[in-house]
Amino acid sequence: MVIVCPPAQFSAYHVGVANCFRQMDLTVPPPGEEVTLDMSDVTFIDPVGLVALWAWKCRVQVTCPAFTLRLPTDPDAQQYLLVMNFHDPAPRPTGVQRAMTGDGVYFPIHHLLQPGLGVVEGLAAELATAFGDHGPGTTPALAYCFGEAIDNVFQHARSPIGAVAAAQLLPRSHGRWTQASIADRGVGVLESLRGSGAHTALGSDEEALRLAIQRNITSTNPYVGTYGRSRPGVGLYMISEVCRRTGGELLLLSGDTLLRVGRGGEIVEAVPPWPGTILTVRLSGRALDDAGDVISEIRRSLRGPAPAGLGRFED
Amino acid sequence: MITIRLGATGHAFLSSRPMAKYLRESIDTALRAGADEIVLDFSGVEAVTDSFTDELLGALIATADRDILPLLRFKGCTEAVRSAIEALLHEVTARRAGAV
Repeated sequence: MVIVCPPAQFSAYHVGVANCFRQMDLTVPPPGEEVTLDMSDVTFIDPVGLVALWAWKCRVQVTCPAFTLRLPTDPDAQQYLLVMNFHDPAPRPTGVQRAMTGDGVYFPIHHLLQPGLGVVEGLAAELATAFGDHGPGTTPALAYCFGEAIDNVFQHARSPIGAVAAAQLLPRSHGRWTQASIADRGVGVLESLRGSGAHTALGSDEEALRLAIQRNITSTNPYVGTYGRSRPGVGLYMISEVCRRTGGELLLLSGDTLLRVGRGGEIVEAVPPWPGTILTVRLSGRALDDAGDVISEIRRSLRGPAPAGLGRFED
Repeated sequence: MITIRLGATGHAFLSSRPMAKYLRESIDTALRAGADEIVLDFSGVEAVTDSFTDELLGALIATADRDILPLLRFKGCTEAVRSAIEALLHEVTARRAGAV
């Protein structure tokens, strides 16, 4: 069986993730089938395409070990896959930065099988180090999104392949764009929320995705005691707010729906079913430089003026 | 007084619930030992996620057998860390008051 990548581009930016998914068959072939992923005609691919294909490839190789990758004929696309470790049959859990002709800063594919103590922290720090001075406004915001999103996979997704993450920063493109993508092959947002007990009546992936980006919506049970109640369900809400307020974009794909969140609101597109979730954040460095510490700003705007004496702080 | 140094984890971004649970155990231990004041020293930590503060402080405040908020002191916080802690405390306190 030959699975053919979309003929030209597999990109969130150019033709859209939904179009890419509609153009190729990412169902898992029958066990024992010889599978070829044909990327010959790919001329452009970005992190969302990489993590989606990597996660799918991992799942397929479990039951179809005879797996062949047909590389792009386009030399730039081929070089990009090399830089992003796509050729590597088992990329190291920590990425190696390689030189690539061009202006980008590349955070190659990282495949995290187990949550492990400090794993998410390590990855967020690596991302910050890789982007470093290229994105003074962008790096903390992206590291936040990255940390929350990967923690979510391990908290909620029950993904047999764990999490796959990749990112890139294009310092000289218009607005200095960064993009980070995280994919899993878990139960998806709908199933995860339904399992919480509070949202058993959810009827569709669209409903679940629209709900999931709201504040304090989660499948994590809060801690409740005599002296208070914890407040899970903030991470995805914050990610969507960062995107809304800075002119960025959150792409959240789960089940048969892709939800796009940006300054203009929310847009929903139908996609062929993806068992699991793919989260992509696209942020403009220019907008974030102007916004300063956007995460702190959002927190302050949510809480209003802090009452005096709430927490004792010292230098 | 007991000081717990969160920067000693070696991570500048504290962003996961497993890490928060791990650190919470140290605070729990200090509380059980009868500490009259616990200093959470964030020196070396640049930023935290809201899931991290929820798991560390939200869980701690909710599940303690007494009101521990007056016992906690926060040291060496960057603006990013402080905003996360304040947001959490604000909401937890509001919930206690029945406002949320």
